[in-house]
Amino acid sequence: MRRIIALFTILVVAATLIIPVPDSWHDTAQAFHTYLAVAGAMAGVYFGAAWLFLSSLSAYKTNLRIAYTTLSVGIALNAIGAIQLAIISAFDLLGTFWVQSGGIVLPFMLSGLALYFGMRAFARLVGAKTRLTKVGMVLPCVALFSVLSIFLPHAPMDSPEIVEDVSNGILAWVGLLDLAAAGIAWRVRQHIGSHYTNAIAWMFMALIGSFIVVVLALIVALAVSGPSGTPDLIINILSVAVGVLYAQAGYAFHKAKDY
Amino acid sequence: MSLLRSFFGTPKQSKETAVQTSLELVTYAASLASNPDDISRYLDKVRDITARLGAAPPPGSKDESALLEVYLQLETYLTTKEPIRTFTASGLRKRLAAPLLAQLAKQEQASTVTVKT
Repeated sequence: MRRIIALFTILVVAATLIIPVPDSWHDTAQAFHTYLAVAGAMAGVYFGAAWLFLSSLSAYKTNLRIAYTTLSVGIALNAIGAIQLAIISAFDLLGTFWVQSGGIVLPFMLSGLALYFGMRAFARLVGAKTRLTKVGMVLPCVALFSVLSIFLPHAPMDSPEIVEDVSNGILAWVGLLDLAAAGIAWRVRQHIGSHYTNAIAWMFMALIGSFIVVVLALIVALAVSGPSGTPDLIINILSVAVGVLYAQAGYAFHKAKDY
Repeated sequence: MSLLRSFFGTPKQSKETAVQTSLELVTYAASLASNPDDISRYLDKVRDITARLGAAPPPGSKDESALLEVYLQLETYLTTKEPIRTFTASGLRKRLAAPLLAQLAKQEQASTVTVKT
């Protein structure tokens, strides 16, 4: 199954290399294809990871199927969010209704929520107790810190202040929910039967990796004024690495259905 | 390396080795429970035996019977009460070595006779 995902990813990356460079692109053709190739790699590994989780469903009962499906949706939304950014940037679609209305933030916001609620459902099923599963405590804190992030000092930006504030707020929202989900995964790893330890450990690594990438993206957003080509590329490559961790977690959960 | 192993546990192998002893059998079954708190009470007997003997009990001994009985209790839990997945008795017993499977069948018969009387 991992080979299928690797092959799919390679095919998607290869497909991005034949897309013609649009007139609106502001950099070299090589930069365009590199940017799209990394986005394609992200699509491959994240959707592959979601598929691996969903392929395990047959062995499990309804409640865990719901938790797995929610996690898969979160992983897939992560990919959709990243891909849409790549398409919007590559083809200069900033003026479209989807971007102007703020729809662009939806995949990221929903991804964070799905990963958090998916891990929360998993923890409650296996009896792992942690305060991080208390929605009434976690969501208001995440919302509060997301709003407070708009007061973080930043370098002068070309775009309007409101755009930067919303972007930073969304990064904080996603990062904090990933961190909460990682905390739940940690507690589940300590509690769950040893048959599942490997799978949940990989899930924890993927969620912590996701949090770290978001923190780096926030630092770049605050510190770099103007186009941030190389830092963004590094962050996107790290996102692909996180996608590989999600895929490994999905594979480990898939193997765990054997006994 | 040992830190990584303790964090990630043991990854699933494509071909698992056969379960040979009653102690391995109980350990294997217990590891499949997603919520260890639910099966903790069944494992008290196992802890007593391992604390006394430090290894698997000899075949045919009372301790061996006790461990097989614990396995049967775990099997009932896994096939009826396990919250996240569906197990079958035949699926659980697939990995047992033939001698252990025969002993388990004898123990199961003895338990059924005890219940009827």
